[in-house]
Amino acid sequence: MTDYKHIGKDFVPPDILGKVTGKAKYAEDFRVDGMVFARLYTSPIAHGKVTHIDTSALDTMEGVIGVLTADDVPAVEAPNAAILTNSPAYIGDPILAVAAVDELTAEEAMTRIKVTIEALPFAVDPLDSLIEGGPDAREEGNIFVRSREGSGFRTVKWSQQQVDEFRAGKEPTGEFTDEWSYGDVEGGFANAEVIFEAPFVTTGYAHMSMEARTAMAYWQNGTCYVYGSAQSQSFWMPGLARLLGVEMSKVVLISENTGGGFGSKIGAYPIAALPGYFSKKLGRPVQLRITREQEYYIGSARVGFQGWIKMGFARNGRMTAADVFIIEDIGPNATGGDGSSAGGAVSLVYDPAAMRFRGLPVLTNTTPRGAQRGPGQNQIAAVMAPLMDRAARELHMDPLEIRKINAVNSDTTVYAEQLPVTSAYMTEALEKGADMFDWDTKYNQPRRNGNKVIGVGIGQGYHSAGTKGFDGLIRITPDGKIHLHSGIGNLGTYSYASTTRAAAEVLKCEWEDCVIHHGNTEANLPWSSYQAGSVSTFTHTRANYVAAMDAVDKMKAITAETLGGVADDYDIDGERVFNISSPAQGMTYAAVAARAIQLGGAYSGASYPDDIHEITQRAVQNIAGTGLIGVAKDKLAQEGVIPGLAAAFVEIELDLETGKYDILDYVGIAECGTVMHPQGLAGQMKGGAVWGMGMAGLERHVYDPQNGLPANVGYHQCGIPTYLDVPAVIRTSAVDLPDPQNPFGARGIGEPAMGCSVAALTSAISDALGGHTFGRTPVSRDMIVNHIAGKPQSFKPQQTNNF
Amino acid sequence: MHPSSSDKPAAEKISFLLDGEIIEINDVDPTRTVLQYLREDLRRTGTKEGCAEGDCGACTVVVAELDHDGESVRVRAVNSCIQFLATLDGKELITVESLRGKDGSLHPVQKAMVDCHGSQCGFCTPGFVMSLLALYKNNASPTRLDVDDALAGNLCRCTGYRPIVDAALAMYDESSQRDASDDWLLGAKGTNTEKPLQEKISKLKSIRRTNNLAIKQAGRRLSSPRSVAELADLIQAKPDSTLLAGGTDVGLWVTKRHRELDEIIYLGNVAELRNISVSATHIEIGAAATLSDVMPVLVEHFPALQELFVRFASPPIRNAGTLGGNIANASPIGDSMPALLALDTVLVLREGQQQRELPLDEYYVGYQATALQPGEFLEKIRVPLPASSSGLQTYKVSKRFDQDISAICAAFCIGLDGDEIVTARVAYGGLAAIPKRAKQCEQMLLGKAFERATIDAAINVLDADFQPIDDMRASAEYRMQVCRNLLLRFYLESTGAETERVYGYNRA
Ligand SMILES: Cc1cc2nc3c(=O)[nH]c(=O)nc-3n(C[C@H](O)[C@H](O)[C@H](O)COP(=O)(O)OP(=O)(O)OC[C@H]3O[C@@H](n4cnc5c(N)ncnc54)[C@H](O)[C@@H]3O)c2cc1C
Ligand code: FES
Ligand code: FES
Repeated sequence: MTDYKHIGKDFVPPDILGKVTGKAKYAEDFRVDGMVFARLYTSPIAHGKVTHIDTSALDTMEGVIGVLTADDVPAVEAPNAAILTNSPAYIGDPILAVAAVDELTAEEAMTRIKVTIEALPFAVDPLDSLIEGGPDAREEGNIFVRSREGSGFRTVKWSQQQVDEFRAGKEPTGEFTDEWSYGDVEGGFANAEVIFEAPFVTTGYAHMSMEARTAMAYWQNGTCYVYGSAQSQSFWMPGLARLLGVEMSKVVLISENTGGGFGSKIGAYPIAALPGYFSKKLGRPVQLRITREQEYYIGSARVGFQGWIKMGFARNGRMTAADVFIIEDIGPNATGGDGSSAGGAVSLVYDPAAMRFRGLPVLTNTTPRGAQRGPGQNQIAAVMAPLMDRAARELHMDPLEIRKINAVNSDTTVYAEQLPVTSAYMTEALEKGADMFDWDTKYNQPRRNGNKVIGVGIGQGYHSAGTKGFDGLIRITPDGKIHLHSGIGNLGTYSYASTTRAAAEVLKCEWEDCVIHHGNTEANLPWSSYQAGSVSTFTHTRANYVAAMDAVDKMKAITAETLGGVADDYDIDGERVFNISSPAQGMTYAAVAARAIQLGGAYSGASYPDDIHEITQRAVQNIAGTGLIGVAKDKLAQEGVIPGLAAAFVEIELDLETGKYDILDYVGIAECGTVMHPQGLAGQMKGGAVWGMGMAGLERHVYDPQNGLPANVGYHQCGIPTYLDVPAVIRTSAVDLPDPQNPFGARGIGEPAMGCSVAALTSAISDALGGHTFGRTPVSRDMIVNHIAGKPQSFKPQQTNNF
Repeated sequence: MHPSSSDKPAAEKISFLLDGEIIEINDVDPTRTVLQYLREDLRRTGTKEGCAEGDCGACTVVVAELDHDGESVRVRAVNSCIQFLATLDGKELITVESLRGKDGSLHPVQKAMVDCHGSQCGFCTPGFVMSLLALYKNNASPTRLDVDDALAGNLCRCTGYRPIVDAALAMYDESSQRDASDDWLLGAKGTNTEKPLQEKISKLKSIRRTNNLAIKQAGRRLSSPRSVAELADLIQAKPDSTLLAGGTDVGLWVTKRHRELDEIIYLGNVAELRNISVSATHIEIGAAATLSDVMPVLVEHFPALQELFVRFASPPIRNAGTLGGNIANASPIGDSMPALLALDTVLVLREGQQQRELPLDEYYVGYQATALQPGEFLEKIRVPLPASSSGLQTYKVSKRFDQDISAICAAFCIGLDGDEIVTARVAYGGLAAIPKRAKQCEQMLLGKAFERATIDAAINVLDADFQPIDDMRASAEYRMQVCRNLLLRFYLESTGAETERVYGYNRA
């Protein structure tokens, strides 16, 4: 194992101090002179057309400053989300905003506005829309297909019989719009010893970040300053500029801290641009902070699935074929793609010899969907785990063994294209977890104790965990400080900081001498990837690596130029560049930086590579001449899928009379290459575990089928896990084997950390119930008690989004 | 009229302490919340709003006040988003900004959070820090369970909670650069030197009010009387007033339902209403005693209430919320009522000088409707003693362990003479429009032998007592099933047959 100075070591992220003292500023904490407060008026009906807006009562209302309607912002084409709309497609769709001297006045103003909306048919359950004669969520159709060949609305209906058969758990025979496959699926089933089919439902639910989204904006000399609640920093810029209708160079985004995102704030979302338009209209800074309830409406939600799967297994437990069909609930704005990702996860995690995926994205008049922690991968993880147990049971195998036999490793090829993976060690993760958890003992223990029964389960999580091609930027100034410029967002994983340690590692410098610049376009940040999809670690250790290597090359060249010899005569250490054959001869980083300014050119940033992004170019232009600049685009070799993997083991005690269960033990193992930041990794594994516990048993959104009204618009209604719902101890560890395609061997983990948890729990619940599979998340106590009591469930098979 | 504080003219301004300074505010808006005051008026933005309904703890602040004896300080975490500013009168407000030293040094609680990596996105962090501070000041060496309880009102979507627990256990060992002998906040419970404590007490005494408070702002009024007699007069004079106890229900009417409350009468400063006394025949609880104060007394006599109370809302809600408020609010899913019904609780209602007693069983007359007459209020709650009701058992079934509304809450109290059931009180919440006793079921039990056949017969008539509804918390089917199961479980538990099961379900 390489002996690193920074990699694999804990550090105190600089911004954590502001968080514990209350000094950290989130978008809503900023105030500027003349700022006014906006509140939103959102649609009270699920689908309709605004025919009249009467705001005359506000003309004389004290404290009201102005109104912004859909006519003041660019129109967008359905089904895309608009900043404000006259064609609301879900309850909570923003229709107008009012600005006032304070929020309470703006709130009060809402009650005096009269909005007339003509109601249109709506659908909350995809199957209600799919059935012949059923309502369409959009006037243009009930399906929206996004594809490279061309996106568009479609109308797809299934016959009553087709819907009934699907509800009965049979293979769907209705039309679908998406299909891919690899291998000989029919042959795979023909060779299988055990074959079974299973229907499943996973219900969507809101992201529920602790901070309800806020944006504040004003204009200065044609530039729009936006204080936003953003998950990514530089990556927001193109989208934000597009939403605001200006050049990217005319937008400044300040997002020092964001109160969580989990996929709901990856790119600039329409409402973040509202204050920009409102501010232009009023000539004053405007802040829009939405309410918690509105965060449930527009803060986006996980895609729901209604599906069917068929799997075949050989006698030795290998999966010979899988056939997956998923109806994907893509909400009103046709956002999703989770279905195909779920199919991809099946192909990677369980490596069936042959596989087919079919999908149908159906529009509904519910909360808009968005990527949510493991979008697709984590829903299917929950579905698959109890089914793997079922296969093990039918083959008289240990559930751990069947997972190991099918485990993804560095030779596995994945997805429709059967791509290679960079590296993968799922077997090692399973073994490490089984050992820590003491699987053999726990699996073989007596399970029944009075009205309590023990269940044990294993879960596996996956998400692709890296990308490439982004820029790195560092700067060494004549005072000897090393400035690490990070364009990643700061939503709480601290990867904006931990990835810069890759540059510090290359530069062999002290962490105390480093200054991180982030959170503000004007801090001269490079073009960085989205802070999501578990990609930051892999992607930005690479980007920081190439930038730091560029700096090292330049420093050696400068020293050679100054002291004689050639660059290769020199090496670095102790923040000095020294002559290898006579180490006393050399220059400090500070001296080299001063020299770089004198020499100019690429050394000082006066010139720069032409393949870096325009955002990075602007950053370099701004800091040129202030020190030695290291800047580069990541063009390191990269081929194949970069997996982030995790395995979890869980033990529960289920109360047969109330359906409640307690989690007695939890072990989570990360397989994310080299561990970069142990505390950060443990934080992801534990936070992800609790997310999985919420998904497995608690979180779902619910709509009243008569009116399309969401019933879960508060934390107490949706019930995310509190401190007491999660086990006393959550144990985590990591495989810690380096990935060959990252200079430090690192890959990402955020999403699999959750997938393994939800999977382990659904597996444990099924185990406690003697192998019964509900094929549904969340598994409520209702479902458990009704099952045990032999009572029918309170919902129709495959019913979703309502009760 | 009553010779009392009302001899002095009522004050129109409130005073409280913040960072050692006395803050006085004239005619504060009666429904302005502490959070609005901090964030909007003071721009102290460290305290966050996550929900504005007492649900998430992001807004947690600590309130210190003189204890009943006037010679010690009590420290409580509360949710500033639903606490009205006017209720701070005479108290000290402590926020996350108060903890950092003038030299910039961290408080041990903050240091522990940094060291244990207890913050990710950080939005929940100030609230956790303040809940931890309350623990730090109230408990010298918390057990794991104490930590669990102290953090139960704070949600975190990022950390998975564990690092924060680590911080709770580590904070006592953190050193500080500051001189603890000079700084009351720095000392954990029991470690405080006398000097800062005495200073704190005298400062709080200096703003202690003896006269009434009567404020009006923007057409809204709030009065805060000091005695029951004054309170009675005020209510009689304005029977349409909103009575404000802990405000954990009323606060939401304002922050969530945007209701205008024109006339508020605050009960929190009526000392008699906060009294709790125990005699040979009953426990008498003033209607404005907080749940945090009431619970230990009730649990001492009825240990079965322990779990119910731990699971009742969260510590900040229990620190503000009152038992009287829970009863008067008349929610069909209020958690205290099934147990109080099973204990045969009697309410003392008062109108002017008139008092009357009414069994709790007769108090609820329909959905959120009570027997309370205009001008009348709940003065005391009497729970009969001795605890002959050793047979009391309660069960709360909710989705989450704490901070959750019950799908079903059940309480059973069975008295035996030999084998014969001589008292039978069976009460449920969440099954009907009101918390209600199962009278037909009780009839099936009375006079019979306490045995499985009796219980089975009683279970079978529960259908006649209740016709629950489906909603998103639980289906009707589930509610009835669990309603029956709980009674059977009660029987199995009290006969020591715990290992028997409701279902003949086989899993080795
Ligand atoms: C996050 C959260 C969680 C909660 N969890 C629970 C829970 O688990 N279980 C549960 O049962 N409740 C719960 N509640 C509800 C609430 O906390 C309780 O009902 C509490 O006991 C109310 O007391 P209070 O003093 O705050 O009442 P207030 O809000 O002050 O008053 C409630 C009502 O009672 C009236 N009232 C108060 N005192 C009197 C009096 N003396 N005479 C006549 N009328 C009076 C008020 O006018 C008002 O109508 C929760 C609330 C919140 C915000
Ligand atoms: S803001 Fe959520 S409890 Fe107050
Ligand atoms: S750190 Fe993000 S909610 Fe707790």
